[in-house]
Amino acid sequence: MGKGENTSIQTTKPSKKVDTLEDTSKINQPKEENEVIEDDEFEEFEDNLLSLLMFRFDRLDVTCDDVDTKEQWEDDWDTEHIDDEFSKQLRQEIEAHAANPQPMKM
Amino acid sequence: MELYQYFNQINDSIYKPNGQALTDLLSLSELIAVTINNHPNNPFVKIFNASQTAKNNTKIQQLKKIDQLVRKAHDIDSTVQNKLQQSSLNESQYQAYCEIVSHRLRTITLIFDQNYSEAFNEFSKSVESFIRVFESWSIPVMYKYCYDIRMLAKLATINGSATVDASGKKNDYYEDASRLLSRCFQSATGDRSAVMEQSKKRASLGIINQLFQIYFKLNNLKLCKNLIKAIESPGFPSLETYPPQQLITYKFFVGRLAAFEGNFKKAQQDLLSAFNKCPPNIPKNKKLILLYLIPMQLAQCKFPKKGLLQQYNLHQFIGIVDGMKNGNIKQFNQCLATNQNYFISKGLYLILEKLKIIVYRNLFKKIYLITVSMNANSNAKSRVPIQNFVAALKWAENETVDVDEAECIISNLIFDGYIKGYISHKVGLILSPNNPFPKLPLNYIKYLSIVINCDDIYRSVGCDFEC
Repeated sequence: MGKGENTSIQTTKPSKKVDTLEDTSKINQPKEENEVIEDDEFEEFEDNLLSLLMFRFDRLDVTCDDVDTKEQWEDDWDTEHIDDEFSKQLRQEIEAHAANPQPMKM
Repeated sequence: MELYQYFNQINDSIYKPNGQALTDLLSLSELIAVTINNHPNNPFVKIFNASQTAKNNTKIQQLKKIDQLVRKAHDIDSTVQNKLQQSSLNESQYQAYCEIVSHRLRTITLIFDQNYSEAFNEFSKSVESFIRVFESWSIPVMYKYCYDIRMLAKLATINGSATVDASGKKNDYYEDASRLLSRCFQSATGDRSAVMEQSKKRASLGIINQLFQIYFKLNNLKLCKNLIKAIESPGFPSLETYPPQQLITYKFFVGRLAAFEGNFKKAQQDLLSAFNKCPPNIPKNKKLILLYLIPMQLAQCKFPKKGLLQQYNLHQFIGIVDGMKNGNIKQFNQCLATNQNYFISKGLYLILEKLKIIVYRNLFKKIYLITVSMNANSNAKSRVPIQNFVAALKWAENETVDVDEAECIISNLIFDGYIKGYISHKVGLILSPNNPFPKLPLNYIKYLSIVINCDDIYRSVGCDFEC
């Protein structure tokens, strides 16, 4: 069931990109992770969950954005920091190749 | 004796009337679920917890006893006629109830005999008879019947007893079940009673959820639209008045539809509400909601924390999230390529690809910050030579990137509002002195919402559901 379709899609691979970063680590990288196929069916909720759900509904109605949301999602990531590893490599690359900005002609 | 008791209980529940009691008496869910699980063709074995297992066993033992007695009876129809009391029912109602019960008893026998194809047909007749006597008090029975007919369609399909269609038509049982469910839906929506609390319309959401399940499986998402239009129209109960667990399921499907249609903002709201309201003791549903919620949250630049991804074993997104956050286009591309089949099978690949613009925005912001720090003493703080972008893209994405390509990406970012500035071919990117990289998410995300090609996505969900 459905397996035939999967194989037809697998034949399209993205165009090979030239790697200039971390070339050595690429060799050890698995080509495609063998994902365990899971049943994608949304489970029917059982009746006895009703009371639990009611409880959560009450709570959510009062505090719309509940605490979980803040614990689970991050939205304050957009900073001016450029001291992570990727930024350092990026700086090296730009410094090595870049020309200084030319003064604008008025 | 057992059979006598069973009919008495059915009589009681009809004449009281007690919808929940009748539902329990007519339920085949446990038998079907266990039969699917034990079927050799079933690729996904469901693990029942202790209380579910106990409930399943009790129910199946009951059905076995009843079935043994039914097999001894010469004629089920006359047995049912003898045992079921007409009482205050009129003749046609009484006949309908007799048919409901007798078709159902035959269904049980057929399931035990492993004749799932006939079991499906026989149960369909029971559903049809039920539609004739469906009333407001029997809404719980309607829910159960709608669920059971879908699960029987699943059982018959797994069994492979579907007539193989040369035209490549997928599975007949689901088509049949969807037609039957549509009739259930019509019987609910046809209620003209003015008092909504007593209207059969309150069964609509439960029926629609089963139809969604089937339409998604059959990859016929267009049909979902009409259902949504109907149920969200003024003549229907407001969504909040339905049982909460039905609302979670509904929001899950409606959110996914919105996502496939490129309406990311609505999808994000629906899926987030479903995720927050879904109880944690059904991790499978939580994970499924999360799977579609994450790309919507990413489009709003709200990133799932690593703990959340690990909790639900969604490690495929780790590189996407980190790549986006840091502007690491290499990591982003690599993660997308590595998990390409996974994302395609979930219908998410094209959506994730659209997020690349945000990766570029974050990368280019870093290039800008680095350039500024390199020229700390210069007065050219708001100018970034195109060469800097080219060098970065050559290194991080593709060696063949040239000035034209870099300028093209910058133009797109400017057009979409991610960067405030303009390109001067002589100088480079000239940025607005204040707020050159507006805070994310942007209020309008033109690029993300317009470019999605629905047909491609519909096609790519084709292999979404396995059964």
